[in-house]
Formats: sequence, C-alpha cells, structure tokens
Amino acid sequence: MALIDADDTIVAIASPTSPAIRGVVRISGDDTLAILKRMGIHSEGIERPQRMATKVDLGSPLGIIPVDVMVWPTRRSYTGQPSAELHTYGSLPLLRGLVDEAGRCGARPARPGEYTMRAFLAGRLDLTQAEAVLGVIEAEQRGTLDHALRQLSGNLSQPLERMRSTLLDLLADVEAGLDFVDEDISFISDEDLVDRLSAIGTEIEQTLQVMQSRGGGSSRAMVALCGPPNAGKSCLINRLSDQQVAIVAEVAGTTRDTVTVDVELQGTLVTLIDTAGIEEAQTEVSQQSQIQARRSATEATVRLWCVDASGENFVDAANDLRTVATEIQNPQTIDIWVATKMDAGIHPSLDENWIACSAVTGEGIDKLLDVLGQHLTQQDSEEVGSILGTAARCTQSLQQASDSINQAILLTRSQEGHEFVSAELRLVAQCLGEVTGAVYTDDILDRVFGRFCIGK
Amino acid sequence: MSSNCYQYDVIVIGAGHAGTEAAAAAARIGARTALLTTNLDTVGQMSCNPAIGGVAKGQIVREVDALGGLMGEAIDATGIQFRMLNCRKGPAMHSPRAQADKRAYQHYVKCQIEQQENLDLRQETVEDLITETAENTTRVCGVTVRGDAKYVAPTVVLTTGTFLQAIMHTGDAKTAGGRAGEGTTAGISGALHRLGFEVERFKTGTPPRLNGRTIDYSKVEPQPGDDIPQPFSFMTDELTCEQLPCFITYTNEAVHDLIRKNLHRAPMYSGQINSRGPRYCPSIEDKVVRFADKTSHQLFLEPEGRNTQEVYVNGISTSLPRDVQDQMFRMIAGLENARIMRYGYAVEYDFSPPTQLWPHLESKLVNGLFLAGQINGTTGYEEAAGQGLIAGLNAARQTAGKSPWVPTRDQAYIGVLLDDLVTAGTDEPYRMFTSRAEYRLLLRQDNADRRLTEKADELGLIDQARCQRFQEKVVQMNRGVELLKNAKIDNLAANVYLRRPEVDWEQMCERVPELAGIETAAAQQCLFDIKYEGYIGRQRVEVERHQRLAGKRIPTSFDYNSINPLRSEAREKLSRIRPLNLGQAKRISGITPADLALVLAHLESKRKA
Repeated sequence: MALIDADDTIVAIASPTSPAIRGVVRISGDDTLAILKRMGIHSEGIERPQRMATKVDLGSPLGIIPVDVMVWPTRRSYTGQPSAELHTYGSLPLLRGLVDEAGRCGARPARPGEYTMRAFLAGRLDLTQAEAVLGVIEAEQRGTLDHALRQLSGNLSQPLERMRSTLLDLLADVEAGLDFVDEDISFISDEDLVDRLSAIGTEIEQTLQVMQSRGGGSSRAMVALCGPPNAGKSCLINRLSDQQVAIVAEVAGTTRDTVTVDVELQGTLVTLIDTAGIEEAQTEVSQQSQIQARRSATEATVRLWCVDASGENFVDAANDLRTVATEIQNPQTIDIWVATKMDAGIHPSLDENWIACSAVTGEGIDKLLDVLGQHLTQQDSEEVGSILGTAARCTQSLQQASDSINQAILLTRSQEGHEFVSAELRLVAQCLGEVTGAVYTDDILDRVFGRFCIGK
Repeated sequence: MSSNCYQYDVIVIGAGHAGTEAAAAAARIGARTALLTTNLDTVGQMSCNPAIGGVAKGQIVREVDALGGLMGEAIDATGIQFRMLNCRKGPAMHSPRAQADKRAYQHYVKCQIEQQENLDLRQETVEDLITETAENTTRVCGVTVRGDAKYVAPTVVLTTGTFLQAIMHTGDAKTAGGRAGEGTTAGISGALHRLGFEVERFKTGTPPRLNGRTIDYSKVEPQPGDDIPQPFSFMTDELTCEQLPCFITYTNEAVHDLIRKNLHRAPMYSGQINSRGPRYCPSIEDKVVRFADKTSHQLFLEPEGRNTQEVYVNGISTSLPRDVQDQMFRMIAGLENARIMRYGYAVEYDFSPPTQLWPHLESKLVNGLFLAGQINGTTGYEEAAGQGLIAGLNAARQTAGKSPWVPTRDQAYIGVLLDDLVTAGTDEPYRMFTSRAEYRLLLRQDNADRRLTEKADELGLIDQARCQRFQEKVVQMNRGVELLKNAKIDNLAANVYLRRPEVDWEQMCERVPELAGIETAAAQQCLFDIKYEGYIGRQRVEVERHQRLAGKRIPTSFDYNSINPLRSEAREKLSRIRPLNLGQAKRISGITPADLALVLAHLESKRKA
C-alpha cells in the first residue's frame, strides 16, 4: 500500500534517460540523509538546501562515478520531506546503478504516482493536479508492468505467475497442517517442504539473475513493421538500418518470418521488428507466423503500418490493416501509417494521415525518421523511467522473496514450527505478487478446501 | 395500543451463544437489559456438537473470557474432556478444545444469566420490530411480543441464529424449524424484509446421535483428554473433574457405496437444497463425492454428557433419508448394532449479509439495531459468542451515549472476525481459522488476557477480582523477564540462551533457580514472548504501518461519487461498504492502491479546506 503510505523513503529515476542529457535520481523521505551517508555522501549538519559535488562508488563494473547532489535536509522540499537529487550523466546503467545502490542503503524503489502523492500531501499540488496523475496510474501501472517484465526478462511473467501459484499451493499445505490438526491427513512432511522450498528458491534465483543481467540495456523501444506481404517492409527495414550507422545485431526471430534488428535512431536504441505479412493463413507454418506477427505488433512501442502506395488495391489493403490494428489495439502503442514504394507511384486516395516514402530513392525517409524520433523521445522519457523503476522494484521484491525462502528452509531444517515457515511464505507470496501485479488475497483457504477433505 | 409496556436500555432477542453474551455484557456495564427467548429451556443450548474451542475458536473463547464473557467459565465448569490441540507446534497455534456436558453447560449459562444484575430473562415470542423514521433515518425503538405486550428500548440486538425461514431436511422430508423440535421466527423475518434488509440463504447440517449403550467400544480407538487439562478461563485455577474419553472409528468403501447409491435421495443432490454450506464441515455425501479416492473418513464418537448415553457422531453430518442413515452405521466398525436416537438433518436458513453492518455490528439501515451470531452468516458457538459480546457492549454504550468499541485485527481474533464480516462479507458460513489472522503470532491463546483485560476494565466489562488477578500475573511476568535479562548461562544472557529451540522452561529453572517461583501461566508467557521475539517484532512493524492507515478516518457520509476519476467498481464497492478508515478500505476486494490514493487526496483536501 506504498502509494498512500508516505512514511518510508523512496528512490526513483526522475528524468528523461536519453544519452547526453543529464540524468536525475530522486530520493525522498525521513531517512534521506542516512541513506546518502550510507552511499558515501556526507551531508550531516546541513540545515539549508545545498548543492555539492561528490562521487559515489557503484562497485564493479560501474565503479566510482561523479555525482552532483542537491540536498533538502528538512521538510521544506517539494515532497514535504527531507529529500535529495543525484545528478549524473544520463546513462541508463549509471542511473540504474544509483537507484540500486540507494535501494541497498535502505530506500524503496518508488511506485508510479508516489512523488505526486507526497507532493500533494505537502501542499505542492492541488487536488485537480493530483487527480490527473492518480486517475490514470492504474491502467498505466498495469501496462508498464507487463511491458517492463517483457523487456526485462523475455516474458517471465508467466513463469513468475506459475511460481507464485506453486508457492500458494505449498502455503496451503502448510496452513492446512496448522488449522486442521484433527484430520487423519498428513499434509506435508519437513523433507517434502524443504524440497519444494528449494525448488521455488532456485527458480526465483534464476529469474533474478536473468533480470539483473538484462537490466541495464533493457530500455530498448520496439518498433514493429506490419502490413500485407510485399508491402516493402523488409526494404524499409534495410533502409532504416542502412541509413543509421549503428547496427547492433541481427538475429533470426523465433519463427521463420520475424527478423529483428537493433539500431540507434536519433539517439535512441530501437529494435526494429520485421513481422510476417498479415494475411489469411493458408498453412500451419504461416498460421504460426501470423500469431507471432500479431504478438509482435501488440507488444511493440511503435507500429509502422505499411501499405504499398503504388498498389491498385491500396484502399482495401489499408482498410484491412485498420481492422487488424483495431483488433490488437494497445493504449501504450503508437501507430504510424506508412505508404511505401512511392517511387513506383502514389494512389490518389492517399491523405495527410500517411507518411509516404521510398526505400529505393530515400524520399520521405527523413520525415518518417522525424516522426518516429518524436514519438520515441516522448516514449523514452515517459516510459523508460518507469520501466527502470519497475525493474528496480521487481529486483528488490525478488531478492526479498529469495531471502525469505532461504529463511523458511532454515526454519524447517531447525524444526521450528510451521507457523514461522508460513510467515515467511506469506512474505514470499506478497513479493511475487508485487512483481506479477497480482494482489495477495486470501485464496489460501480455497486451495486448502479444494485439495483436502477437511472437516468433521 | 397494547397496555403492557416494558422499558429497557437494551433488548436482546434470542438466548443462544450470541444472545446470552450480548445480554450479559450489556447488563455488566450497567444497561437495564431484557433477554427474550421463545423457550426458557433452551438458553445457551448447544444445537450441534457438544464441544467448545478448537483451533482458532479456542483463542476466541479465551478472548471472550478476557472480556468478561460467559463461555470460558461455563465450559471449565461443565467440560468432560479437555485437550490442548496443536501442542507440537509453536505457542501461537496451541488451541484449547473441550467436550461439554451439553445439558450441564446450558444450565450453567442459564444460571449465570439469572444471577446477572440488571438483566431480565423472559420467555417471549417476538412478533415485530418497532421502528421510527424521520428525515430519511430509521431507528429501532422496541419490539412487540405475542400476547399484547411490547418492550421499548433505544437499542435492540437480534441473535436469532438459524431460525429465520428455517427448513430442516432429512431425505425428502421437510419440516419448518431452525433446530430439531423447534419452530421458526416468522415475525422477525417479516420485519427485516419490510425494513429493506437483504437476506441470503445458507445451509448446514448435523450428524445423527447414537445410544452409547449400543456401541461396541472394544472395536473403536479411545481418544483420552490431556493428563493435565488446561482451563479456558483466566479465572479458573485448575480443572479437577474426571475426564471421559472420546472414540474414533472410520467409514469404509461399503459405506461409501451405499451413499453413492442413494445420492439421489439426498436433498443436496436431488436439487431440494440449493444454498451453500460450509466447505470445512462437509456432509458425508459431500466427502464421498468430492474426495472419491479416499477410502475411509474419520468419525469421532463424542459423549453428550455425564448423565446421558447419547453420543454425537462427529464427521458424518448428513441429510440422507432415515433408512440410509440406519444402514450406514451397520457397516461401520463398533457401530454395527448402534441405535440412532436422533437422525441427522440439513437445515436451510436465511442470514443477513454482514456487509450491511458497521464493524460494531449495528445495522447501517436501522440505527440502534444490532445483529450478532449466525444471523450474520457465521457458524460456531465461539464466533457467535464473540459477536454477541461486542454487539451487547456496543448497544449498551450507544444507549448510554458512548461511542462504539471494537477490537482491531492485531488485537484479537474477534477483531479479525468483525472486520472480515463487515468488509468482505461471506459466501459460505464463516468459521474462524488461524490463517485468516495476518497477525497470528501476536494473537495467542495464552496472551488473550494481556491483549484485552485492561481494555475490558476500562469498558467496565470485568470485575475487580479479574483485574487484580491480571495485575498479579503481570508482576510475575515482569519479574521473570527481569531475572532472564540479568542471569547468565554459559556466558550468555539467559534470555538469549532461552531462544534456542531445544531449551524449555524447566531447564531454565534448573539454571536460574529463582525462576521456579514464577507461577505457571506467567512463566509460559515469558517463555513464549522470548521464543517469538523476532517474529513478534516483525509483526509489530506491520501493525504500526497498518495503524497509520487505520488512523486516516473516512466520514461515514463521504461521497465517493464526488471523486471523478475513481473507477466505477471502486465507487460502487466503497459506497456500499462505507469503510471507516483507509485501512478497512484497503481490505475491500478489488480496491487498488490508486483508488485509495484518490480517496486520500480528497480526504486531505477536505480536511485542509
């Protein structure tokens, strides 16, 4: 219930995160000064807001980095609490490193809306302003969480949800043993408990590793090129990546027809996805690629809907695409309509909603890049910050979950009562629930009654 | 206009486990109280199993006792077998349970009621509730009873149990009534309907009772009571009664086959009953159907008293027709020749979904009208007693112009019970489990007095003797804590040494002889406190965090429709439940942190304005 509990100290990235711009990490809460001190930033004795140049050691591999710190030592700050801003280079790994370090020193990664809430409570925002932010958090949070999980860990949300379910089953076994003593059922033995705990522990550890290893470069926007076959998507991809110097990698996708290319467009790292042509599926293989194409299109940050500008059936093709676009609509995604192959002719019904271009002559490509760049920058500042915030929160939650699992194993081995084990498992369930966005509810009893014949 | 009119501060309707506690609590704090029952011979009746306590329920009894209630002393005085359940687990799980001499228990409770000052126990059949409506507010002001008379009071507590629109089923035979041999309360059903209460329907069942003379005890396993039985009441020094054993036997595949063959004749399966029953107390039909792979089910043979041969067969609740019930027992070890004295039956009854109440159990619809016990969709004597006590207390407080008091979730299982009921409602008969209490490690049976006695004293619920006894225990405990802090064992502070799992109090007494002087109950609490220290600390942090939320109060008149961006689901739920603070709001299912943030923002802006 962090959003309305303004009593602990939070940390978050507070700035757009494109390279070359300065990045800011913000800390707010009563423990701010203590946390700074643990980070090696000494601000004791400061009575008035003050700026200081210092260095923070982020450990290997990031090392010691220069940081400009702005400290508000009293409640006279934007959030009405002691707070600080840490300014450094706008590099994602560095900013993330700072957030993680603050987390290790006792700060909790902030949830969306928390700064707004605190600023409101401090009287810095009026009700209308607060409402405007808080009213949309719900949807946004859901979207970002999904998005962040996909970006961070290659769709780990399903395995995490499974893990949580396994854990709740285990908890149900433990709880049944506590609440139903008179039954002639042995719910779970200590050996079995340790085995199952270890299995979940290992899975959590692995997930944590995946997350940590992918964490830094996780901010890539996905741009999907969609359209009927032969709409010139592949040529366009080549053109876009050709024109830009930095091709980072070229990987064959998981299905035959999806190709992804990592490029840097106007200062932002982007993954271009060439989806299979959207059409009626004839064979099983093409069915698979259709499914994959739609998934990519749904998950993308930006979708470029491509239609051959010179084609006779431009109107029909465009209408078909619009239907598909509506079907797989996603409020987080931006749609751009691209008329390709303008060198071969332009259909008369093409209007200003379309960006016409040619991969062959290069005509219109600059305009496309401009529009794309605008959206990406906007997307970048709004989204990357919150994805990183989500990442930090997920990592912290998983770390807690992992610690509690280990504690539960220890407790079981030393023959402590299962009520203690249960207390740890409840914490784990809560932590995993926070990662997957599931709210912990009292469905333990449902699981107990579903699995055991209990009661006199 | 009736000529016979009686004036009271509080009227309690129904004299079961909720009603007797409600009336006694109200009277104890000084309210002139009338307790009305249709039958003076069934006051405090144990309608179902002859037992008190059990896991989580035993803790509730200890809390009722700490608050000056009747149940603990009644079972101590009339129990015939006492067991502390879950002893192999940690102290928070220890739960007292006892078999009662059913008739003696009931007489004891009736006698306590009769002796209670300020309390009149009367045999009356209530025909209607009298209410007044002014300026859109309805208030209860009394009841009319059969025989041209009325009772007038500013508060009324309804504890009518399963008697609302009750129908009993055995096979396809149906009888109106909430308990074998008794009727139903049509007048009150009508009144609730008229006043706009929603009602829903639950069912529950009881097993057959056998004549013990016809049981072959050589073929069943005895289950004795504890060697050193531990009392329920903090006022009972020790239990010295002779204990009777219970016995265990099992069903088998032959019995299950018989049941399967006759399923179509069970009202639950023939479609005669559609309402929901408790999942934790399934009928034998349910057990056989839902857990088909289980080849036998445990049955407990529980004596119903010292002066009767009647035996309650726990575990075989059924509504199958009589001939099937007779045949079933012929196939069960030890019961081959057993004679049924009362057949099992299922009962369907109306209850009033408890989300229609404030946490202190007053109705949101009708001011001054309190509901407690099974009418709120709960089951169990203990759950009823806990609610009754709180309803009676708060009815009397309201009459006296005082604000309500309810225990919080970190203070008592009763607090968990009340909060669950009014915040989440219930879709099956609600029974307490320890897993419902998030602060389970704090809510132990041994420390119920420490959690509640001082508050009970402040509320005027308990007498001087209880207060003093508690104070003495506190002195003893403090001495124990002091001794443990200062003594050293193997170069360790004694309280650190004691934390080792293998160390018990007796070993400590050998190493620190002064400890032996500390009285058992106090010693036990010292021990548990120290063993649990780390976890207690952690739960306390959670409690404090939550208390900050609970401190953010929401006026009952708060208009959720004035918050524009609030989701309609949240708006509907919050308007219906009308939580008293953000802590309660948070527990409403489907309410998200963002919803709460919006509510908080509006509360704050109103506060500042």
